[in-house]
Order: sequence, then structure tokens, then C-alpha cells
Amino acid sequence: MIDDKLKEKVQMLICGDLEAGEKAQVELLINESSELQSYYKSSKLSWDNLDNLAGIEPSKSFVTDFWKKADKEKNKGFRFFDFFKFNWKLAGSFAVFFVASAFFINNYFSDVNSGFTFSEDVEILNQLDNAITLNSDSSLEVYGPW
Amino acid sequence: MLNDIELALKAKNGDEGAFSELMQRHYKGILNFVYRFTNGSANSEDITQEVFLRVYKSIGRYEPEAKFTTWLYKIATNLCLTKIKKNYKKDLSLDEISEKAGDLPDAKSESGYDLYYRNEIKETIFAALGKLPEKERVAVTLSKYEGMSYNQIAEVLECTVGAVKTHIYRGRMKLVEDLKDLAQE
Repeated sequence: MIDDKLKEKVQMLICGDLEAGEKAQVELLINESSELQSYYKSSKLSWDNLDNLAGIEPSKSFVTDFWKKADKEKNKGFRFFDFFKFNWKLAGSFAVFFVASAFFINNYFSDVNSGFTFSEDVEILNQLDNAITLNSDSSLEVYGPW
Repeated sequence: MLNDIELALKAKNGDEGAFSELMQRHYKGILNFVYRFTNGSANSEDITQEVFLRVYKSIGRYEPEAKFTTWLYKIATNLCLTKIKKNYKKDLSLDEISEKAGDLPDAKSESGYDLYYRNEIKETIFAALGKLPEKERVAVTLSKYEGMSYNQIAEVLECTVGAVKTHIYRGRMKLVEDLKDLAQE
């Protein structure tokens, strides 16, 4: 049983990535062990066998087909959401801005629509407070002087 | 003759002829990379067209710091990974493979047994490559079939050269196990 570290060294040897000293050591180990020799051989064969995966030929119309697709893409024109497609930070910033704006506009218009502004609110509250206080004073007179 | 970077810079300035020239140079390589990476997907050509569409759309962002091919293969790798994740891969029957794959030009002259045997080998290799983890598969494919250097693969994978070497060694170790029977035949 060959351990994984030694297997890795064999791969390094085949790839030509071992320094001279280490290369000599691994070669010596391979020469001494039939199991390692067999692993070395099947490693080389497996790598060579990958050559059996031949490539394919592109169709003759590849380039013309490409330009047709490219023209189609160009003619699509500008679509609003395409602008944000790969720019998530910008899209996020816009989303936050829109939500904040919507919140602000909603609050502003609800105040305007209710017919009075903030200062009027304060005045009404003061009047109410005075009225309650006055009424309370006068109503307490029934109990006599303090 | 202009080199890739010069052509890419011309294409960046809107020269479609320069882009066509770049595509002519690399589409076969990309097609075969896609084909091998996606385990012989019948849609390899569509994916390759999509790779070049992405390159075309983003050529304006190309900076000549890296080799054009490195940038191109990076885009191809990312697209392949997306497609694989979306289960784009379709399993083809042997008949479909021999019908569609252009690597069997002499299929008619071959005996049925040879054709079957070749397809068996291909299927075994696809299965072995397909079992590798993403980064090992990218590293092995780029190294074996595209002849890329460790540095270039490191740029494609956005990792160190040391990490690329590890991916290749480990990938090779797994392939030895999976292709053991093939090696003995």
C-alpha cells in the first residue's frame, strides 16, 4: 500500500516539479519497489490516456452565427434592469435611496394632507393643556381654599 | 501580424474586425475546452458562443495586464461552472455522441466494435474528469489539453501557483485510480 504523500511525490516527479535531490530519492524508491513501479507506470499511462479524449470540430457557420447573436443583443437596446445586472452595490444603493425617498415623501404628504403643520400641532396641544389646567383649577375650588 | 493583446485593444476601441480575428484564433480551443469541461455537452457550441458574447460585451473592461487567453479562459471556466451547476449537462446516448461529436470523422469506416470501444474510452474519461472537484478539473483540463503554464492556470483560478500544483497532483492521483482499468487494457 503506497501512502498518499508518496503518490503525490510520484505525480510531482512525472510533472518534473521535483528538485534534483528529491527527484533522485523518489527515483530510488521507485526502483526498489515493484508496487511503486507499477503505480508510476499506470500514472503515466492514465495521463497519456487522456489524449484519447479527442476534441470536436466547430460548425462552419460558427462565426456568422456569433455575429447574428451579437447583432440581436445590440438591437435589444437598453433595458433598465440590465444596468444593475452585475452591479449589486449600485442596485442596493438605489434600493435604499428609493425606500428612504418613499418614506420621506409619504410622511411629508400625510402631514400636508392632514391640513396643519408641525407648529400648528404644538399650538393646539398648548391650548388643550391650558384648557385642562384651567378647568382643573376651577373645578378644585369646590373643595374650598387650599 | 498583430498579437492578441493588440487585437484586444483594437476591439476595445470598437474594431469588430479585430474582434473577429481574435475569435477566429481562439474559438476552436474554447469549444474543445468547453466540450471536455462539460463532459461532452451537446451544447458546447452554444456555450462557446455565449463565452464570446460575454467577451464581446466586456471587451471594454479588458486591461492588457494579463494575457488575453488567460482572460478568455477565465470567462469560459466561469460560464462552464455556472452551466454545470445549473445541470446544463445532458446525458447523450452513444448514438447521439457518435452523431454529434466531430472527433469521429472516420466513424463510417470503423467497425462497430472500434466505435463502441472508442466511445467506451471517452465515456470513462469523461466520468473520471467529471468526478474531480471543480478546481482540480479546471487545473487538469487547462494543463493537459490547453497546455497552460501553472502561472496562467493560477490567474484563471485566482489562486497561487502552489495551489494549482496541488490541484493538479491530486487530480492526477484520482485519475490514476479511475483510469486504472483503461491503463491496463
